[in-house]
Amino acid sequence: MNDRFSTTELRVSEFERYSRQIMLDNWGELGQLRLKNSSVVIIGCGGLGNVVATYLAGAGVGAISLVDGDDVELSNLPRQMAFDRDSCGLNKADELTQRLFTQNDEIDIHVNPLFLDADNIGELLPHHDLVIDCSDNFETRRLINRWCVINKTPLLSASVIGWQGQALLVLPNTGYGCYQCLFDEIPKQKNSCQSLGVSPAMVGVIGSYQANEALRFLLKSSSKLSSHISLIDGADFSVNQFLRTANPQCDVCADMKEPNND
Amino acid sequence: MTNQSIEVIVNQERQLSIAADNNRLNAVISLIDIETATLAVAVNNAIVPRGQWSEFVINDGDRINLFGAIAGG
Repeated sequence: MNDRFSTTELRVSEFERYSRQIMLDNWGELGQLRLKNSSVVIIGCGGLGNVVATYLAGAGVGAISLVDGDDVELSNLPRQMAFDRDSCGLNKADELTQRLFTQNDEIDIHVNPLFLDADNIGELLPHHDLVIDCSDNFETRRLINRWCVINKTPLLSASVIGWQGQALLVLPNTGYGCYQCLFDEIPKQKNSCQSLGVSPAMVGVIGSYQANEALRFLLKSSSKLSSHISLIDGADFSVNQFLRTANPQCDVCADMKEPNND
Repeated sequence: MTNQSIEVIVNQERQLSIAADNNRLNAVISLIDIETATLAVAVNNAIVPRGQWSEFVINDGDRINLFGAIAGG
C-alpha cells in the first residue's frame, strides 16, 4: 500500500462522519484518506467478522470484501451482533453486508457468500491491502496463511475460544515468520467455538482488538503484532505477548528467505 | 553438577525443578504432561521454533510458556 490515492479528497459528509477519529494523533485527514483508499478482505463473517467488519465499515475503510458460505443459526445470536432472529437460515456474508450498508453507505462492500477454499482463494484474496482472518477452522487458517506468504500480502489473524484469544500480524519480509511457523501441525481437537464454547463478550474483545490493529495497519501506525503473538485471557484480562521468529523448518515460509530488517 | 538443579516457571504458575545437566528445552518439556505435537513454546517471552528445542539451553529462573493454536472465529 502506498499513498498514491485514487481518491484525494474527503466529502463534507465524510469530514462530519469521521470527525471524532480525524482529530486523533496519527490519524488526521491523511489517515482518513488512507482508509478511504484501502481495501480489505474479511474471511469469516461470524463473531470476529461481525465486529471487525462493523468497525472497519464505520471507520470508513473504502472497500471491504466479505467471504463466508455459512448461514446464521440461533446459537450465533449471543455474540454475532449484526444478526437477529430474522437472519437465521440466511447467509452470514449477505446479512452482514445488509447491516453494513445501513451503517455506512459511503464505502464499497463486496459480498462473497461462499466458503473459501483452494479453488477460489486465488480469486477472492488478491488486490487487497490486508487479509483479515476471522475464520473458524485450522484448515482455512493454514490455507489463508500460505496464500498470503506466497503472495507477500499482509495477514491479520485472530481467533477466540472459551475465555481465550490470540492475534498476530504476518507481514512479508520481516523475519518474524508466519502463522505456520508457530503452529506447524493441526491439533486433533478442532478448538472451535462449536466444539469448546466461547464467551460472547470475549468475541467482542478480540474482534475489537483485531479491528483496532487493522485500522492501525491501514493508517501506517506501528503494531507490536507484526513481531509478536498476543494471547489474551479473559479470565483475568491478562495479555501476554511473545516475540515471534521464523521457523527454519516451516513448510510455508522457510524457502522464502525472509531477511530480518529490524 | 549432577546433583544441582535449576528452577523454571511454566505458564506463569507452575514451578518446575530440573537437573542442571539436563537443561535442554525439549528435556524440560518432556517433564510436563502435555501433548506437544501442536504446541508453540516461548522462553522468556520469545518463541523457540520446534527444531531448536533439543539444543536450546534453559537457565535458572527462565519463564517457559506453552500454548496451542485456537481456531474459533
